[in-house]
Amino acid sequence: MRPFNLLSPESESELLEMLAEAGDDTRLIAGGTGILNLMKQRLASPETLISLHRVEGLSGIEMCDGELCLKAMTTLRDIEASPLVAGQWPVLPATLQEVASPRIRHMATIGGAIAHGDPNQDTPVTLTALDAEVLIRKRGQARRVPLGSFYTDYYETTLARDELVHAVAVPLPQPGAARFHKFAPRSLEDYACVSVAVRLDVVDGVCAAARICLGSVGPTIIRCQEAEALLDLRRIDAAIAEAAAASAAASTDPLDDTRGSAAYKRRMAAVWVRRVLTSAAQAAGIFDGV
Amino acid sequence: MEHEISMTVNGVVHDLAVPAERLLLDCLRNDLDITGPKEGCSVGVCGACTVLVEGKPASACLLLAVRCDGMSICTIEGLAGESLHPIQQAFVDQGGFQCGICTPGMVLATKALLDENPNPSDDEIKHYMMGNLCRCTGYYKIVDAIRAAAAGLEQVPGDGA
Repeated sequence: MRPFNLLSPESESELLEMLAEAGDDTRLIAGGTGILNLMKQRLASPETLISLHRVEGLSGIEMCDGELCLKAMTTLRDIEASPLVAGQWPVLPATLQEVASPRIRHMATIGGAIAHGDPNQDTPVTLTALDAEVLIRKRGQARRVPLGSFYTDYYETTLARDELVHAVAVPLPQPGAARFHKFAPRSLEDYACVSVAVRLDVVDGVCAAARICLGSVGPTIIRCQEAEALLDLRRIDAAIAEAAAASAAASTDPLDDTRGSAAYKRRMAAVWVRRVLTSAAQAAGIFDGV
Repeated sequence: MEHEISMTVNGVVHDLAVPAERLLLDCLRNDLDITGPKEGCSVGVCGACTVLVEGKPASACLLLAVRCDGMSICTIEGLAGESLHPIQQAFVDQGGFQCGICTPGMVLATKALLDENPNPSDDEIKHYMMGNLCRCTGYYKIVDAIRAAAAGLEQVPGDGA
């Protein structure tokens, strides 16, 4: 790892001031499990790191204005263990239990998991399916971006150099169900071959809103809007699930790597979308058939 | 630029000056000669460098020493009192190791597990320990050791050392 300067601000205003004055070679460090790995491999060599660990008021899980608010420095393990989170969205702790190992979840933060921009991560897949929004701050300004339009490419996001991920806001559940599955062909703490999150909102016994989101099979988290449209105002049966799975798989753009060839990953995307969608539809009470 | 830090390692306060890029693992091994934490994969996967920071498990290879300023660190060297810690004794009794390089991390991860969940099921043991790799034992003896440690600690109420 190349030497760097480290700044450790103690308040968010001090941090935002530093960010506003910082050069292009400045990066933020939260839990460190992402950026330090990039730095060790010399994929990133920032001149300056600004550490968030001393900043007051950047961690915690709160209900605010009818949303679940996960502040940036909250560890994945704390979110996984939160009764407040599990009471609203049990799919979130279910997802987090499949991220890396418990030790890494004690270190990694939700803000880091969002900002890192690695499409192989699991947490943003589920959060995108839940219509989560990223709460972004910079000196004197704040904005919100839907997670679904936050990522632009491998490790690239719409976050500007002077901006901070302050929190992630998750809307509260409507009647329906959400499910997540990480398919890892080797071992669970590995990155996925494909990960799938499905959310189905139900009104009057039909699917009123659907989200089908995929991780590890393209340059960003992929939201499969054509597949979602097939479910609109329908009940789900095996044929619809099969059609949505085929549509979702067609929207992937995977790479060949140790977790499978691109063709294998695309095939597995279809298999796991069908299974996760079926499971979510059964849980939501809108599946016809066995 | 060096940063002045003060951390408590196994109950002993150490005042150090470290550069920003010094990892906790290198600080422990090279600056403090505490060699229980091992460098395995260097990317947070293998668990050989597992230490407890403020009682929680952490990969010392992915933690800046500066970040540990004011914190309390426990390594394998800090676990035994006059005799082995019950978790260490269980690993000995059950043969939960062979070459030994993963053992400090295994024992500390077990401590973290049993602090969180004193009576884990086999599935809970396997899930919690997934981030600690062993290339020798095939894991069965390690799971046996953790099960025995949990049973042993239950019989010694108050021993949460």
